Amino acid sequence: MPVKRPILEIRTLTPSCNEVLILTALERGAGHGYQLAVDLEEQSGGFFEFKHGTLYPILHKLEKDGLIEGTWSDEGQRGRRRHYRVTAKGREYARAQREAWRLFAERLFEVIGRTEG
Amino acid sequence: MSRFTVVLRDLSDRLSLPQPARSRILLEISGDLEALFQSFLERGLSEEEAEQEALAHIDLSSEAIQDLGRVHGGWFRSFVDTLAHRAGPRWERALLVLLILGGVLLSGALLNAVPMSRAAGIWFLPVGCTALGALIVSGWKTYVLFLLRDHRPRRLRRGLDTLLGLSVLQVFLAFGGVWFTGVGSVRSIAREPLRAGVVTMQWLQHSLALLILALSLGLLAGLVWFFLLTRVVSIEHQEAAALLAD
Repeated sequence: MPVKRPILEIRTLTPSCNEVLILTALERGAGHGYQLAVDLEEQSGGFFEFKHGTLYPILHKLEKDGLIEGTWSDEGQRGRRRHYRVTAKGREYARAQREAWRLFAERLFEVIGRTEG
Repeated sequence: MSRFTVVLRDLSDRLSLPQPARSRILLEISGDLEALFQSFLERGLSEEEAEQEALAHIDLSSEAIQDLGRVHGGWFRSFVDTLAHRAGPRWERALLVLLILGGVLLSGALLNAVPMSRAAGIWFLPVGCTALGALIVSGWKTYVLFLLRDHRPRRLRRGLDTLLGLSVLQVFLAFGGVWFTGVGSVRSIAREPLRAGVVTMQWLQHSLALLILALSLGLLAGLVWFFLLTRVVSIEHQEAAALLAD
């Protein structure tokens, strides 16, 4: 199955940003919703604050698209948890998304810089 | 009873999704709520404070619930899951088993009827191979669900889509066979117009035999798929019921 092409448009900026943040956090080793939210908040110095409720639809969509894979694990007193990991397709997609975001940021600052200069 | 049962029940009511998808979401959120609760307890909060903090962190807004509905709400899956969930009573499952047994007997009789499979011609080969694949998947899934009783959530639905795909593929292959042999027959008639009647009758005989076999085997595989789906949905429903039980 071909990798979904990342397209950054104004209307898709927020979902794309959420996807790339979550995929990157999962690539770095975070495993489940709670841990993901904490990691992203800590790494961004509190800038990216994800409510867990917001994370579920994003995680489930990424799983449906085959970009991440969820598995259940029994954690005793903590109950059964769903752990996620990035698939090979997800890694490729995340890499392309990061590149698209880098390009987007460069172009954005070119325009902003020119206007302010 | 989980300390979050009331919240989970409320969430269950707000999620307009068929039971399997709903169960999976409830199980995941229940696990995360419990983990959050434990982590706040470990940080020194009282049980009541930890419970409130956990709920505040999860914060399932209406938008998040709508988004979950959009992600899981494919029309086909929703439809078949709902249908399978409704086919819960014992007598309905028994009827389904009887239908499957009837299908097995009918398909066996058709396959044994030598003129039928011979009349279906070379195109029966891919249809037969696909039916064999469906038989293997059905046997393996039946073994896992009923004998091995491996009901781990991530494995529950594995193989079901393949079975449905093979069931549909048999019918498509048969129609492909009818089309290709039809084209061949038209060419033959163009070459030898005097044999038109014989060629047409041969094509009709071949097509009917192929379609009867493929439809019978495809329908049988479809029935087995639906029977296994009702079992899977029932297991998922039991998981959710246990989660929300008093």
